[in-house]
Amino acid sequence: MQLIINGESTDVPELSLAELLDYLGHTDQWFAVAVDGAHIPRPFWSETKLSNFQSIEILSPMQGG
Amino acid sequence: MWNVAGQVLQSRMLVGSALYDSPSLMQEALVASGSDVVTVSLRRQGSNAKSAEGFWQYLRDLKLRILPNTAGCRTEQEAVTTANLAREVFGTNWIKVEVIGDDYTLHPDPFQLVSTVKILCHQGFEVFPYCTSDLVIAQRLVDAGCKILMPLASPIGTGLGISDLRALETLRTRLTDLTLIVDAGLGKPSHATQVMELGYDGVLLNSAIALADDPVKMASAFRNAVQSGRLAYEAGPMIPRQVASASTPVIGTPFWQQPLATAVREK
Repeated sequence: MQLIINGESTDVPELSLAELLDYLGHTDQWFAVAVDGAHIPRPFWSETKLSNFQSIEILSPMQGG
Repeated sequence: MWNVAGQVLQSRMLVGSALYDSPSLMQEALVASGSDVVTVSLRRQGSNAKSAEGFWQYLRDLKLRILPNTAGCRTEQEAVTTANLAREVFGTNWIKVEVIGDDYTLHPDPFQLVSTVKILCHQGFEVFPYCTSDLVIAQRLVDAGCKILMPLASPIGTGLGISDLRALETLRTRLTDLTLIVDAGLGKPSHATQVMELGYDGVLLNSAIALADDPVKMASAFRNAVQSGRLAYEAGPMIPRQVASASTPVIGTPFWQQPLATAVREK
């Protein structure tokens, strides 16, 4: 399956959102996720199925003004 | 002490966490500022993942209240999604809403801003909107549910100071019950003092401290400036006069004589 992860086209196996995040090594609590521009709260990661060409944003704390 | 969005804060200065040469310098400057609140953003992690992680650890160690921003958003949808992502990551309903309308000046888009704020207030956020000093837009933001406004003094990151003092004065005069925090454009401590003297409740700074030759010393200078401005506002400055008025008592001035006495002597 091909996904756009943080703006980059990436080939990954067929996975749920929770599985994808594990697969990518995101294990700490300091990030949040949007799929196709919509926030997916953490409790819904397991039940969120992904499909080809969906856009995934994985965002973490950064300096800001 | 003062109260903002239901929280008691010691400092009237909110500070940003960006543009420092290192996380340790940021930490030192934030401590020197005496601020209780620091702004942060959410970004994609790429090759800078390690440094971002280090930054976040340094910031958490300070145990400050986090004010996430929606920096870089250009539409209502982007800003609403970012606010919700931030609420989950940072565990706070505070959000500094930036919806940029022009890439050159980084001025907010007032139309997108008002519609964004309406949604976020409805979703239970405490919204700190970065806005212009336009009174009518400010009133629309209040109508949308804002209890706090953050008008700019000058474009973000310029350090130019107050570009429209009268507009900021008007906002303060007309929106007496609102929490007003000047955000963006302040460059020197005297700029902060000036807006605090107008009765603004606080200031939000980043570049002015982080880009100083000595950010730690500048953080301290701003801390004092904000306190001075607030004290001056509370003390009630004198009303300016158009003509000179001697402050030293005239009575008992030496070498002065009545005109008559002078005339008699000259005869």
